[in-house]
Amino acid sequence: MLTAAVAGLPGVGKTMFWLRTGSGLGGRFLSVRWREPDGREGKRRMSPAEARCRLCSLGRHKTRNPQWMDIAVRRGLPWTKVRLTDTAGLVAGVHPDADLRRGMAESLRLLTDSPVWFHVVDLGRLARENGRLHEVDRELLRYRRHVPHYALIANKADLPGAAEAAERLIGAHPDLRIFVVSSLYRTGFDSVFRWLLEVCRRTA
Amino acid sequence: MPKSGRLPDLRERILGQYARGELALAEALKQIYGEGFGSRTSPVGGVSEEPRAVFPVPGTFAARHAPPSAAVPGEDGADLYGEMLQELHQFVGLGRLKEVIQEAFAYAEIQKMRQALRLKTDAIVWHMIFRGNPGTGKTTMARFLAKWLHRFGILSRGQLVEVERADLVGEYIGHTAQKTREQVRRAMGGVLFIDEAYSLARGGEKDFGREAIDTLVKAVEDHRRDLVVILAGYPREMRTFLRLNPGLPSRFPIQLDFDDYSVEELLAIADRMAAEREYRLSPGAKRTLAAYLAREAERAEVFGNARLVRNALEKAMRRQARRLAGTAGLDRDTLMTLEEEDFRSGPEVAWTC
Repeated sequence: MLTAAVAGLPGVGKTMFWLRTGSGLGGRFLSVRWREPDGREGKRRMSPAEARCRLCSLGRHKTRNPQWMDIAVRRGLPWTKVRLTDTAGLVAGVHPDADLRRGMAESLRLLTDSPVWFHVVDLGRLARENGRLHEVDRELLRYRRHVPHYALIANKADLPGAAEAAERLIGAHPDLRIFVVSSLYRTGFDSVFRWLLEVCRRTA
Repeated sequence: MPKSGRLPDLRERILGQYARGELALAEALKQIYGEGFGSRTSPVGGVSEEPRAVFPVPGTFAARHAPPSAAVPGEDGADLYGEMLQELHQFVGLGRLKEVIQEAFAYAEIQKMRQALRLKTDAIVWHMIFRGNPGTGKTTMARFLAKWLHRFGILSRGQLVEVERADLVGEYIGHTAQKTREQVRRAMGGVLFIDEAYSLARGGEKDFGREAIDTLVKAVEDHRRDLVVILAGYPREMRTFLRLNPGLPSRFPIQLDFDDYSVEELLAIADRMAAEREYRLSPGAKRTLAAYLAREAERAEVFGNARLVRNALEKAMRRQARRLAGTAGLDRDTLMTLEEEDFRSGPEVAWTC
């Protein structure tokens, strides 16, 4: 099974990206699993719309613990099973909430286990910060060389200033694989799917 | 859920420290990858996509045999000093204090360059005293120092261990030294931050706090190369504490005063805190908040500074939620904006504007 993890700052749209990718590959219903802080695992079968209502929010730290879905990728042969994992948003400093810190540590464990990283950044934030990446993003970028398959997801392409921010990002990192997407409006995902399928094909 | 690979104990230890708040993200990642865990020498299935650089890990053959150079590279050749300055200058206010920190790091950097060129060097003693009212950024600065002293290679681990009297002072003879040594052990390789340090001396001659001070003094002497101790507290009490313990100031050569923020600086902090939470303040809200802060600064004996701003902001966010709840068709702008009325007094709010 190939494991792919979605990581980034809180509130950059990781869960929305994860759901869009999962529903794009997995079909009409998503089987979402998660692990409670006490170690118990939960599972729920949801439509993408229900999953979006339940799992996404406008605020930060909606995802407090990692959650994942197993998808059998059936496009072409051989079939590949992909575990697509959504992680808790990472912060640069020490977060005062102990439960959240545990969720972040669990996320970090999954991240360091995953050969595929989707590192999500918020183009709206990038536009406001004059193209300067947040410390957390810089840290994740620094360690990308340890990851066999790394992709930078420039999310929220629908926001004002996002196009310019995306151009600056691509210009500043010509060596990176960058996908410009809007998870909200499901744009830009074709190239993400193509890339992931190619990774699946090679690793099968 | 995926299981861990090699060296699970090592990674579990690092993740445990991260979960307990003893390590920040940068340090946790560095330790996980720096110690060899999690790195993959070849991509799964042989798909080679990313250029992969190799850097000598300290202590390895490659690191030992690298040619002498005056440059001080970061983990991947980054300009560490410049990066540190950039982060330092993101702090609002703290003018004089930033100069002192900058000077100390500049000195450390030059010493490294001298060492690389095999010139004589002189190590800085980094033990510090922080004096300032609540909310002036003492803990934040300690965290900053822990991180950057580690990245500069001065501290081996870079964690911040925050303690107070109860963590150091015991209840019977011998217990205090044991407790204090335990905290020093936890902080080895990082920063031991002792908040309200004067409370160690508050019980008089027969109090066990005295024993904690003596144990600490020995620790700062013995471990000056891989431990930084910061004594912090309110300005007046700290001055009395240092006067009554004349051996301390010479062992803590860097003494920093955290002045109260001006109202303009507090508003800048409020803007930043709001932006981090994806809110913004309307011009009216800023005016109301400024008036409130000015009144508080004048009235309160011990001013709450940034903590006061955070509390005011959080109350305003709750007030905004109450104001907007039940309104249909709210747009992004409305949800993000805190208005003047959100900062005004209400029945359930303790403070008034």
